[in-house]
Amino acid sequence: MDLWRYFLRRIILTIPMVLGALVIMFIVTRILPGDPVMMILGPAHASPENIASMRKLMGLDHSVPVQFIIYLGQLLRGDLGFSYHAGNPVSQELLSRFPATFELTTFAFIIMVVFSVPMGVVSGYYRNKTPDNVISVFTVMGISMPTFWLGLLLIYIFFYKLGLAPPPMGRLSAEVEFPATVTGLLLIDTLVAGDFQAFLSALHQLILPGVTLAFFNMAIIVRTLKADLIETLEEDYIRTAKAMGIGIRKILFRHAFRNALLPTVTMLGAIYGSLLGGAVLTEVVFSWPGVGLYAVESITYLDYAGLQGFIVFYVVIFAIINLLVDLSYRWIDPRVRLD
Amino acid sequence: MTEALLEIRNLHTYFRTDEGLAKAVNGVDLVVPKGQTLGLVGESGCGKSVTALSIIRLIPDPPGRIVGGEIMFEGLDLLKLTEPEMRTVRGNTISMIFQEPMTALNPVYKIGSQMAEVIQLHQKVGKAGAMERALEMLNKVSIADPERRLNEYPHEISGGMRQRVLIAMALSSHPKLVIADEPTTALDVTIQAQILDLINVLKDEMGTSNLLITHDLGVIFEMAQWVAVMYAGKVVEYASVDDLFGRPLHPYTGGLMESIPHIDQAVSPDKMLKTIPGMVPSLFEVLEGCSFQDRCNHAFDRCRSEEPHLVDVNSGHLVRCWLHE
Amino acid sequence: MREMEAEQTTRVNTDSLRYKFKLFIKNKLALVGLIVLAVVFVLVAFGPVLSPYDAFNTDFAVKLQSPSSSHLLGTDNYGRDVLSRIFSGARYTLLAAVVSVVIGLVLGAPLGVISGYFGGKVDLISMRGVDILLSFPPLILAMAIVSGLGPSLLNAAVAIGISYIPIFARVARSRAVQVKRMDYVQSAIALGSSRARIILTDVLPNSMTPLIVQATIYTGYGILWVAALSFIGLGAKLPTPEWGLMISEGRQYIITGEWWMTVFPGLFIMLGVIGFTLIGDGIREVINPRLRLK
Repeated sequence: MDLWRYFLRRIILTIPMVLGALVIMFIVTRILPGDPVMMILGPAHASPENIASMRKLMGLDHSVPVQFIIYLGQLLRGDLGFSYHAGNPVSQELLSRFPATFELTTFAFIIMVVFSVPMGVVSGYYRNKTPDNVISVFTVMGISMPTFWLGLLLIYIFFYKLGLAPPPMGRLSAEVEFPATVTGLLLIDTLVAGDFQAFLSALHQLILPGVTLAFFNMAIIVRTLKADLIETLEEDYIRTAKAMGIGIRKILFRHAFRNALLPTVTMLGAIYGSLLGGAVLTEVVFSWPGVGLYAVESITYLDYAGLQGFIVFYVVIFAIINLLVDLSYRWIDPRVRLD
Repeated sequence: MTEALLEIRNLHTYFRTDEGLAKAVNGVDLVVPKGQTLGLVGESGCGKSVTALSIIRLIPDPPGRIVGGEIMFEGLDLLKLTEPEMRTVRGNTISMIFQEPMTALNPVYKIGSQMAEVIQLHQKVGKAGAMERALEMLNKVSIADPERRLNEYPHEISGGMRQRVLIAMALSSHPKLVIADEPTTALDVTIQAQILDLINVLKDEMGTSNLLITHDLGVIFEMAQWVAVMYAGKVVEYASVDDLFGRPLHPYTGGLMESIPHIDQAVSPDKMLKTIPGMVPSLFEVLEGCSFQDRCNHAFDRCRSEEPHLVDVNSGHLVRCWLHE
Repeated sequence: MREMEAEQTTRVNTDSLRYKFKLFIKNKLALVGLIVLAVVFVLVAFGPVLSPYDAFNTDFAVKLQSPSSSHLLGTDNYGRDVLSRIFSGARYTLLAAVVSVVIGLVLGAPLGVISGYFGGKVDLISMRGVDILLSFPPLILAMAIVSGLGPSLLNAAVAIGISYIPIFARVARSRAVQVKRMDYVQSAIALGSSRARIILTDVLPNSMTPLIVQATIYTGYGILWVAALSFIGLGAKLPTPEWGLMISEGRQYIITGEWWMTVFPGLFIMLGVIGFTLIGDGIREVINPRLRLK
């Protein structure tokens, strides 16, 4: 019961924040540049008639606050404008491409958690000894490597040199057919269709971009977890546990672990946001047909409607993720009050 | 003299720090008699807590290490036990309670769960049996509404109650020795008295011996039968409570007694509270002779050149001072 | 026991700056960071002078050559010497990163300090504003701003700087809240010192330390973000030898095996980031004694 009220309250609080973000977006895209009409139309379509009618269409003959209200109205209707380089409404493009990004991001997220949590614990427990030093080398490299560079490097090594990875050209290799769309997530859809070969192909294509995307954030999690574990192990209740005769393994995994994990869990929202951002770079490198690639294409073709739509889309998704993380945090740490 | 339950001989525990080698415990000898309370008293930094942690071997290494001595308990030298063997002692035959009850319990687990964990570790019971015992122990430490407490989290109960829970945990396996390191210092004055009473009652009920560490002579007087006074990493006086308060032999002990303000002492503007002049010597510097020399009114030549030994001057009353050797 | 006793038994002053510097140096990683940073600094300052070739000089006769004795890091698709481009390009990436941190600090830290010190409505409003900035996933905010301002290296630096404001504001704010509770601030307030004076002389200086650590580390990240923005076309423009842009240019050639145009700029980016990160870590360890190891 309490949880529902908290949930509702958080949603209500999130709305002004998203609204604020939209204001910024609006200012940035409609007010700052010299002539938004030129931006939207692009150089190819800027005839005087088009400019005049576009001006009317965009409601630029109204005052600024009214423009914003109209803009909001359009957003609420799901109208993000027309993506001229794709030839479709922006919202349609975003929705059709989102499953690809979602699959990639979630896959990277899973890789990240599965590998970085044990590494963080090992690193924290064996502080300054060999395991920690080895892991630290990787983490320092991990947080210093540009994601897009890592992707290219991995392609060079595993595709060009070793031939282990598939060519970076999409979600399925050329010979395999796309299964019927159920969720849009290939790993699931291929299994539903019973096409095991397609499933393997989809998995195969996911590995390199997934690792690329995960790497940076893995390094961050390992480092944070290590520091938190070290700090947790100094706490009084750990001393109590030791004084009661509890063995080190139990202390690590039962007593220290949950407490050390708390700050990392808080970070999960930010991490997912970072993944969303990093997905843009990864999709470019691997020609992955997701929303990130769409955004960069929009930039390249000066399709400002597309870019704006993408940004609004991401802001909303990010807000939802943060909300969910907030809720789960309340569930994990009994001390957190429903303020 | 009564039988000894725990005997510490020539204990040395050192710490490597950025500032040098700190000799926190520098040759401590003491005895905890069976069924009685030994009070360990001294100023902050004299090594009392380190001594206690050395007994159950919880000295963090690095930066510390027990470098010498023996701790005899039930015929065994605790310092020679392996770590797994030591773990069967901790919380089982020797238990320790610490100063800060507010942070001593794990915030993410319920109280019942934490107590049951310890009980199941040392006793052959299942989860249900452990919960029953936990309930019994909560009753023993006079916690109201114990069933509810078992299901609560530490942050939902007060500091005094948390200390009771910790005492209950420590006593759950009927240890022979309970070490209490300033168990009431962090609590309200009214709660302090209650907790001290509780410790005494339980000691009589369960026949445990207590090692009570405190800087408060008043607490010693109320709770202990025997007292050891520590200064700069060593024991400087050891006696029964009556002997110590009746006839303190070491100048430091005398100074401590005098610095306690008396309730019937007239306080006038020109009469200052008595203190012991000077400061505790640094743990890093090695002094020649007695470590108390700079603050002692009775110091003479021998004090500055030779270190005195701990000798028995009056059937069970030991002191480390050239005045009495 | 004998060995331990034979060790030094004199006390060492742990508060002096000299001691802290010695401790910093003792940390081998921090030392590595310092060396790396020195190299980077030299490149930024003297890059073009040190370059064997002109970074902008095209020579199609030697295009796409793998590393050799005449071109240590190879040549790109225009025949330009990769090494020279990297050396000359150092200043673009790095200065942009520094600009972004400066913007973030100069705008964010005072905001955070004022917010933390005054609390109440001021705090609420500022932090809501900060939260709004934070509601964008990192790269996305920069993308939004640059697309509005028009792509250029300076705009990229500004965009990243703006996305840094909330980070520095938060750090400064939490520190200011802590410092405000300290006795020396409370007594200054009780003595009637003006608020401006208290902030300038007591709160701000004591909030510096965590900000210094963050500033160092985020300069490193700034290098990454500047390169990333350039990579997707929102930063430096051709033919600037900015490292991220170089990777973008070399990208299509990697599948055909010409790796040096992509690998080397990235390596240098990594070096730069590592340098700043290690130094930031080193400073943090010196400042926070609890993290010190023996």
